[in-house]
Amino acid sequence: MKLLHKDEFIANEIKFYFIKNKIKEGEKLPSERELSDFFGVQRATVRAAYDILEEEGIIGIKERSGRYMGHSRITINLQEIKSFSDKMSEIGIGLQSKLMAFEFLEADKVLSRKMKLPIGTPVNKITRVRKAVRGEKVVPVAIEYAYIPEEMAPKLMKYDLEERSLFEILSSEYGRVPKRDDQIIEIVYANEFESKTLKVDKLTALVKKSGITYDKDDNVLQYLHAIMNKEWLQYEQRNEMIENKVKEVLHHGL
Amino acid sequence: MDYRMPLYIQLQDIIIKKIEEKQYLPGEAIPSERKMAEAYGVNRMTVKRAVNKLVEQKYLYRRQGAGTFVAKRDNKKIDLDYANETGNAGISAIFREKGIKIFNKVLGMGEICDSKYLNYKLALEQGEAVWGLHRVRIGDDVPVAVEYTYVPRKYFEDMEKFDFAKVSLYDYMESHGHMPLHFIQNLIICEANDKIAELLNVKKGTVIFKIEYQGADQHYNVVEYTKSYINPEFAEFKFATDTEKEIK
Repeated sequence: MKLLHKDEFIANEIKFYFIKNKIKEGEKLPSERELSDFFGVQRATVRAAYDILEEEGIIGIKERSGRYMGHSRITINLQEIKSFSDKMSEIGIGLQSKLMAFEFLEADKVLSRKMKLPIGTPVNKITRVRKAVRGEKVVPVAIEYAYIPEEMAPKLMKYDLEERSLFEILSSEYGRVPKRDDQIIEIVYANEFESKTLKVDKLTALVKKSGITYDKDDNVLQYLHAIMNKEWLQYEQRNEMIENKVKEVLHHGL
Repeated sequence: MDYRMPLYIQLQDIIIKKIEEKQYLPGEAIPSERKMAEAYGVNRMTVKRAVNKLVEQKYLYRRQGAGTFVAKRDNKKIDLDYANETGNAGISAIFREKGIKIFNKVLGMGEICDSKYLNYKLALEQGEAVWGLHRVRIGDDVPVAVEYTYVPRKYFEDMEKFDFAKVSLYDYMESHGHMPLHFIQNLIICEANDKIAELLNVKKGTVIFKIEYQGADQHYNVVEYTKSYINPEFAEFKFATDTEKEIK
């Protein structure tokens, strides 16, 4: 048995074509006929390869006018502690934040375990919806519940949480600089609120990222619980040395 | 932790802390209930209660007659551990089931020529050949991951002679002086297509983890490109970031 079917092989080669030709989000893709000439394979093979890429979410769903490159994902670099807004602006996606709720509460048993703080710790809970702005369209991509111990940031409410990033406020207004975090990524299914807010069907699979951010003195600065649309993000650990090696072969004319 | 908390909760906290700080290592036995009761001046029932809770929460597991052990959260490399160079950032797949043994089923192995995509991922020049190894990783008779691995043929000329159902790929790579030590990793959540669904024994469209990684050896030769599809029922992903240990 051959290791890769022809369509799988060609799907890979089309991915390389995208890289080599720096195909951008939303760009019209070559027709099946053009690619079948280019690779010297049957049109049916190209069609099957395109279907694979569609399934993988790399290209958009086929439209009457042809095929288009899919949207890029928000990359969460695992070596950096960054606020959501920094991540979005990096890939040129406009961001809107909507403050849904600002609550003051005392940690109950469940929250106390999550935050690794005693029961009864005063906490501010901030619920925000993150939206990506793409031209005319505004797409909700994440719901974030941030729990900040009152002690770390008294009177947090007076700052503009729609315009400013929480980490920026914590750093510049309170001198609490996020230093390290521990996160877990899980798959969860949309409840009613999440499906409404993120505009997805109920029980759609979503990504849950949760964890604690600490400052240099190991104070708990934040417990974040984010529910995100899986189509919109990827987690990455980068390595510049390897990236350069790989880029080199492109320059050598691969 | 407040001193007024119930003692068994405080005790749980102590044990979890020691696990997290790696004072108690995965696979290692924790002190006996009697010893802990003595050390903290508490009743043995209190210790038992704390330990029971942690067994429920899968921090610990019991082996009859042998004692209570720290659950193995870190897996060996061959067991789907996505290692990273600093022990800092990085994704590690953690099996929810403890002590799970991973077997490999080889779906196929062979040479792939003229794939510009694979050569690009492996930083190879045009015309260089690639070995492909497709495996299903099976734990307790259940497929937990499908892994498609590609390596440069030039480093592993005799790869065909080995049976990777029995030999660990990383052991083999290490024996040839090209153990992957540095990684680029990318994790997304996607839906299983027909083929992956069948191999993972899940319904088509089931949401799964997909990790792609490129591994380089000590001289930064790219020696591995792997696509791994993981059934989320068996794994969760944890990562830690520390700005001071950031890799430059």
